[in-house]
Amino acid sequence: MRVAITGVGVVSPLGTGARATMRRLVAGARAMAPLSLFEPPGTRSTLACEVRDVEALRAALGPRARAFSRADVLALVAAREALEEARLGAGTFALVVGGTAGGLFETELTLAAMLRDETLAPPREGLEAHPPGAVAARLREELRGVRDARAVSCACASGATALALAASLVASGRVERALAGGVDALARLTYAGFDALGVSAREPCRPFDAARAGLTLGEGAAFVVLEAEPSARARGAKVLAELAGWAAGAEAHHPTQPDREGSVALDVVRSALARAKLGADALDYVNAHGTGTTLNDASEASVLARALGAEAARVRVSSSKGQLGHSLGAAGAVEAVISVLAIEAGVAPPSVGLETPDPAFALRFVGPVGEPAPIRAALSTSFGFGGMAAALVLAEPGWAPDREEPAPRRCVVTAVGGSSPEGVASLDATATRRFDRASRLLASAASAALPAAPLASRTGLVAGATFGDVDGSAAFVSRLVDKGARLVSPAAFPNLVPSGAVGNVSILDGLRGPVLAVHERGTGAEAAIATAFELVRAGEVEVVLAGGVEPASALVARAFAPWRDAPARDEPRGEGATLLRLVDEAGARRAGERALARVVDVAAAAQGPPPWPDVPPRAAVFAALAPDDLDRWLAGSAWADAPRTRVAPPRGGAHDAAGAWVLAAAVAAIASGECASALAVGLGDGGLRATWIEAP
Amino acid sequence: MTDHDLRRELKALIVRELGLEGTTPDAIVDDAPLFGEGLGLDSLDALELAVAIEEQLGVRLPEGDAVRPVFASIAALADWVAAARAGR
Repeated sequence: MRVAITGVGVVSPLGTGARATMRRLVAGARAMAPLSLFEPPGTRSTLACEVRDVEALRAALGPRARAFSRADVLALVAAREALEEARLGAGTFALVVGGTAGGLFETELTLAAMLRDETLAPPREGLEAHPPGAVAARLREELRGVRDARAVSCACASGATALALAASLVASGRVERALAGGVDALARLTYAGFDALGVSAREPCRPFDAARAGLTLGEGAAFVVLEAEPSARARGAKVLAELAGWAAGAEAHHPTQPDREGSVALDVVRSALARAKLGADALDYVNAHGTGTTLNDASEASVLARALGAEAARVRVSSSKGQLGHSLGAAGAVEAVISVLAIEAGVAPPSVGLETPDPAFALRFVGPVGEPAPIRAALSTSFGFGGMAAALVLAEPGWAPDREEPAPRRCVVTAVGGSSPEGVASLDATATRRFDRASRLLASAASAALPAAPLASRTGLVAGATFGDVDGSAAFVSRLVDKGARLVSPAAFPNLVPSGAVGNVSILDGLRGPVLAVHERGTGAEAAIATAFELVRAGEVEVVLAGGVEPASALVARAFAPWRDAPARDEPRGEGATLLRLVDEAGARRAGERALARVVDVAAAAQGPPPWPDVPPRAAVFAALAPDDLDRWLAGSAWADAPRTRVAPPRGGAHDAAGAWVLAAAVAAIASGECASALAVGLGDGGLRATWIEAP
Repeated sequence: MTDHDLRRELKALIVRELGLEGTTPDAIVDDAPLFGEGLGLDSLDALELAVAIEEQLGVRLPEGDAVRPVFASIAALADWVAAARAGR
């Protein structure tokens, strides 16, 4: 199955529009300028790559956009450009959005002020932009045709990973069309955080240069429309390129330092090429992550040299960050679009900021302006905090061989792990000394869900939540405002990306499969489990821990009280983490793991019941919802009369990620023979999410 | 403040700021490496320590690679802090 790209959209510091950005990029323009969005908060660096005229973009979106966050505006404009080019018409599509900061710019000062002053009441509106899933929720509201929205976060690999997830959905036949991309807007927290780590350059960044001195922060958004190629062809769509290969993994090494060995990064690159069935000899261009930091560029150059082998003398390499800066969650998506346009235009984009390549790098770098050359296939790499790694292979239509997709894999649950006070207390104190509360809870659940034996295969980790680390973010910004940028906590910053907890646990437990956080108000855990199920089903990973985590937070309870869903509002907000081990059934049998239940399918419904028409015998519905809510959602479906179990809150109290706990209760009921089939449901943004399981 | 007092203060600061729950300050050996082996701290710890020392002891450590010799051991750190305070 070929995955066709039929539309692209970009909003970048070099311009609004994919081709407008590309023109200026190829001409060698740089978007670095003194920071103007907010006062440089006493940081060493005062430069940034800002998107110009965001207020003009906002005005063009109409009066509804007055309430949008900066990230919302960037994302919506880019998404619409891609959809307009693709001309999908009335069809529906899956939406996958990568990002790290969401509406942080609009909410960071308010949250910091609320942390410092307990008497400060929350504003009636404005904070709803804060949760990491808010931009995806906004897009789902504003775009017509979104069937299921997924917000994913894995630091600077978010954009690329969103594209990889969407490509997998299309290639495996799960959906016919998908809109995938990434977005991030500048914020004081991120600006000060990178500066505190000592990786922000005072001058415009110089990727791969011998004298490179750090990164320059940027912002932006990019989206692509992905379609099953036969359908794209049948409707006469113009195919710009194919997303021929993809892979994601985690180094499990260090929160901010790349692994000098680079073996996971190299594996991810090779997997993406293998998926595309292309060797390095079929590649013409690499768009590198190339941030300009001493360490990233060194480890990446080594990985690329090894991946390219003898072809390293021929394949052109450049980093666009010397012109666009590092747009974090948007970067992987922006750079994928640049790679598509490089193929379309037959030009290798330049590597600006590079005057004298580091002599240790045995690669062929592009010069300061684009070099015309046929680009038949391009590799795009992205690396992020927590050791996240993602690689995409873009190819001109027909260049990569077609691939027969394997039959969908069967997915079973072989273990369940929940956080507990004992579990948290027994964590290795030294290894977890920098862990925030969410990381500790998740680590506790993970150790209960992992086998005692060393991991045989690359294990993934997908955890869902409504919020990231709100207290940590508020504390960080509070210190920034009080004491200035020199005295913020450098070690706290990596914990503040929404994928901080999954990154920490992946390092602690050596989890090297795809590692990501999924965010959705009320049903983050269900969405995470759905993502993990889809990965196993498509054969992307054999073992993955999936579930949810929410830490207790008085600040969240105060700040978001006006906004929380009715069912949850009356209950005091607890905390906890639950992870289920999802395994490829054949793999579980080979490893001698006993299946507790089989995951048949997952579904999301914006209104009304889940799509499965037949209720198997001895089936039951499991939910933590009030009976009235359940009635409303299941009415008219075959499941309306099935016996129901109202799942009591877990030990730590009710919380937004308890959807994993509900599924765990259903798994336990199946495993004990109480029922033969079960539906675990939760309610949140986007309606009902249901997981259907049965006896193995 | 005597050299001995400064070393004790630095050890307490390290344990406190870096969350080294299992370590008592007195157990930290004056001449043992702080990073890599010895106490086994990493680059993030170094950054965190530099901020804590600037805030609590009022001296600004060098940045980047220049800070490595300063962090070679408690003794090296104490010598550097004392010198910085004396304006040398």
